[in-house]
Amino acid sequence: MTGIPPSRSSPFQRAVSQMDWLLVLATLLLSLTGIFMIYSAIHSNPVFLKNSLHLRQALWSSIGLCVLLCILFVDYRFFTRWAYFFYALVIVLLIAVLLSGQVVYGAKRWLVFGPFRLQPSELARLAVILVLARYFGSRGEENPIGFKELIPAFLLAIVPVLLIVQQPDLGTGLTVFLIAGAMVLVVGVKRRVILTIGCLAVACAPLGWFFLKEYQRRRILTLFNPDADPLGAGYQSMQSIIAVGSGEIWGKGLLQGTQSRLHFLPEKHTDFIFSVLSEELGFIGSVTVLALFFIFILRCLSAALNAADKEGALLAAGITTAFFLYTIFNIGMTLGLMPIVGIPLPLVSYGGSASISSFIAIALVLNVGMRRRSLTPAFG
Amino acid sequence: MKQGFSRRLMVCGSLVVFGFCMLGVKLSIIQIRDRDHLVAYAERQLRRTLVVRPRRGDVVDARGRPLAVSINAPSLFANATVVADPWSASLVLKEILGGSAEDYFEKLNGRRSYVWLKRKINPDQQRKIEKLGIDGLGFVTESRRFYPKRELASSLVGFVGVDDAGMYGVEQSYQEHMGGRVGRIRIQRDAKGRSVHPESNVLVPARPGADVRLTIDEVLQHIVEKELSAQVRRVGARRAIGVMVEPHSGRILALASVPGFNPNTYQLYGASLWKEPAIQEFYEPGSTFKIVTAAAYLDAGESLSKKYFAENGSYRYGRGRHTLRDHKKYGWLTAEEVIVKSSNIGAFKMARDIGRHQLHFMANRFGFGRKTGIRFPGEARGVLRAPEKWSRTSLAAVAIGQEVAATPLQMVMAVAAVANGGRMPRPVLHDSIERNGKETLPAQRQEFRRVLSRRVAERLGVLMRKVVAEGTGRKAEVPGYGAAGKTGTAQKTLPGQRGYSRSKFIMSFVGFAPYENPRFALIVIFDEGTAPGGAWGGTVAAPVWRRIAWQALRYMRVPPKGVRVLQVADSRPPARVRASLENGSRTMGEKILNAARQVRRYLHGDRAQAASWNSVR
Repeated sequence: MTGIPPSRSSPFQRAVSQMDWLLVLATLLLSLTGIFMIYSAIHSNPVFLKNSLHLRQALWSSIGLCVLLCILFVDYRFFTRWAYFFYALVIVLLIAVLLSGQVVYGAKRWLVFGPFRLQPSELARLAVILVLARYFGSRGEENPIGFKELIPAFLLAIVPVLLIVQQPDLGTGLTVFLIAGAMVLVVGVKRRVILTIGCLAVACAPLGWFFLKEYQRRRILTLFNPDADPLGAGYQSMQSIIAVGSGEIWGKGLLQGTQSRLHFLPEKHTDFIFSVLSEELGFIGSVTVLALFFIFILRCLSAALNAADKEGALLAAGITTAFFLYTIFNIGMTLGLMPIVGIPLPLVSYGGSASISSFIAIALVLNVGMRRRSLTPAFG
Repeated sequence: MKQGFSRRLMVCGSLVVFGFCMLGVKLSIIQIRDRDHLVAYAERQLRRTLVVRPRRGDVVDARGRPLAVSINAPSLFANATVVADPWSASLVLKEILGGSAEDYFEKLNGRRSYVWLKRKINPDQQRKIEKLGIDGLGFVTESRRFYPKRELASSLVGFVGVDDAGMYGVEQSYQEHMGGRVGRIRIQRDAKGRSVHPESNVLVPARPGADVRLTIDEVLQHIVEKELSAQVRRVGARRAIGVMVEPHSGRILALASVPGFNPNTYQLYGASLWKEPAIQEFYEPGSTFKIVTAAAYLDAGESLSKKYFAENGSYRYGRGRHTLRDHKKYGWLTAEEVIVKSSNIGAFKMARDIGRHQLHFMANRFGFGRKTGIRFPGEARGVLRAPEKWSRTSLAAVAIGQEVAATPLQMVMAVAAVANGGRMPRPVLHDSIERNGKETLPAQRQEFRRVLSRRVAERLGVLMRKVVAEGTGRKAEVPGYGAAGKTGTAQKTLPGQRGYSRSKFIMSFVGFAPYENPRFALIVIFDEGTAPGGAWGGTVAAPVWRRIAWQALRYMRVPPKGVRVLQVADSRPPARVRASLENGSRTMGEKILNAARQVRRYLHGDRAQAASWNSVR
């Protein structure tokens, strides 16, 4: 432990001294990488270049950093206390986006406020994490949860998920649901409940197939056979793998990637930013970024492990799960391990709402970590 | 609880480790194990080789006047994936370019990113299409062949196909020089198939084609064609051919066939017009071939003053089954008069005196039955059968130019040899082949072949001069210059039947001018037709020959001279020949030739021939 006596300093000073600088460093490095790679991805696109998306991303990151600092001053328990309020706000926003959202690629995902565009689904995952942390954290019992407690939690999670799926944004909806599930598992569930849900899930899986849209089914199928239709459903996946592979070990160098420069890569500054990175920085660069993410997520996990109370632990665990799932889904998608779902790479992909919500999430993790149990154990 | 909670978080931690390990493994599979395969895939989809067509060389005449040139022409292509409304675009294109809207639609409706809609359109059409502003249509500048002189020398120059490959005539025979070398450029293309940085990677640089300067003189060519077509109309001939050649060099000055065609729109004409009949077709030369008979006769050492009985204009031979006819009842003629008056009976008797081997030997020396070696595709050999295969009537037939077939070029080259003192030049069609002022193929070396002794050549020349001065070719005389030549009137063979037509003739005149110092040998041939005075070489072809010769000599600025008047009865060789004969100063070559002749005569046996003649008699 730090060894600084609590009596000689204010709680905030003590908190600063327990700041997880490694996590901060990883965050900053990943954001910087993101800004560079966004520039590299868009420099061949005159429209994007004119709007200087990379500078915008830098601006969003700076704003995110400021928000992060602000949040550090406030104890995370303040946020969990207001969790239901945030949750209600997000639900309103999600309904608003369905009613009057901007349509992009056939999906309503953005709310437009003058010059700003807000993507409420990015906030929704934070809200669900907060509200579940509050819900399970305020539960005094130590026993694993049963069906009786699980149903309200399920309802809390499923409402925003359904709203997001309606946009439609199946990828994000699914991750939010998975985050909720992971949090439930971390809290601890009765074995009976796990078995029942597991059996139900297996039974329903074939049914779910019929609910999927044709393009979604094809995306899943191409996962097993990407060469089957390289110009159709497998095109994006194939081009991404080609980009990654042609980076070889040392990469083609910044701005030199032909796959991205000649527009073979789709969505290269958002969902496929990792392909651009792999093509231009090679295996070395890709592994470095993977390592950064690995450190980043382990540090988040460590914050959860050492949290002062259950709420904080759940909060940090939920956020860790979110980052982990986003990272695995996104990179797995660019490497052909996962189906193509529109999920950005945290901190690196272009996107204002996503960056700011990421910074808020990191702030909450840092917050939990700063105010971890130093002398007194959080759980009695 | 604390224990359970931490344990579950540790499980999460191991899941994280597992997840990242999976990513790492997959990453190394893609970036290390499969990298060569994937790099190749990336290369394949973005590299494309573009063919750059070089500019085709021009064809110009001896003085550099263009006969075939390459001009830039826009070609219309489409990126079918971009064209928004293929059907209405097809309808508009049909309006402007013609063709069928269905064809355009088929091309525009596909998924091809580069498809030709119409190649080599005119600038006016390009402007109209550009004004429409249809997305996905584009133009590429290609080179298009243009023949500014239209019909002039059309079958000689030939034409090119769509991809600028020479298909006929000079365009075909000089293809390797004019075509240049196709260049290859490797370009990058982006995902939409647009090319990026076309200057990037030149694999093979394009090399422009060389310009071919022909020996043809446009003005002489024009004179020949103009006079031929005028006469074709006047006499109602099917067609006419004219070839003019420089005797001392073998350069072809004009090579014409009428009617011609416009090579710019060659598709509108029949394929038969695309051929060059002066080189690619042969005909029975008829009486003009008596030049060869006379040459063989003189070469055998016979005297021109020897007398022959030309009967009463009709002579039965071949066991009485065949009849030779003359134009008139000539009675007794000297050998000279036989040629000058073109007696068939006399010519046969002259040939009989020297024998079939001597006649065949001379025809063979003149190159009948063989290609002249002119640089032109599909040159015909003509027909000259070996004497062993001759029938009973063949000697009579060959002596008067039947049963043999020659190309007009072969015939005029034979006369060029006579005009050049017995040395036959090889026909030459180009003066130079140049790329950017640098010769790529040196001018053809002038080659000569001695076919006649100087003495025989000069005596033949006198004979041909007399044909014009006092014989059948009087209408060919060019006042002030003097012409020498021979008429020919050959019955056309009946297609699909044996024997000859009695009403359809091939009328020709072949000769050279000026007599003293020949500047050209010229043949004109008319296929069918008739003129006042009858369908004769002397009435149909000779006047045209004179008009062409006179204009050509004026164009060449040959000064007219007083021509030595020959005494009609004087059959002696010219003074110089006479002197050389008296001095006995034969050249070594002639001595060898003579010896060879005697050996051959011995081998084939004169006696055997004499026996067969007896049977003919």
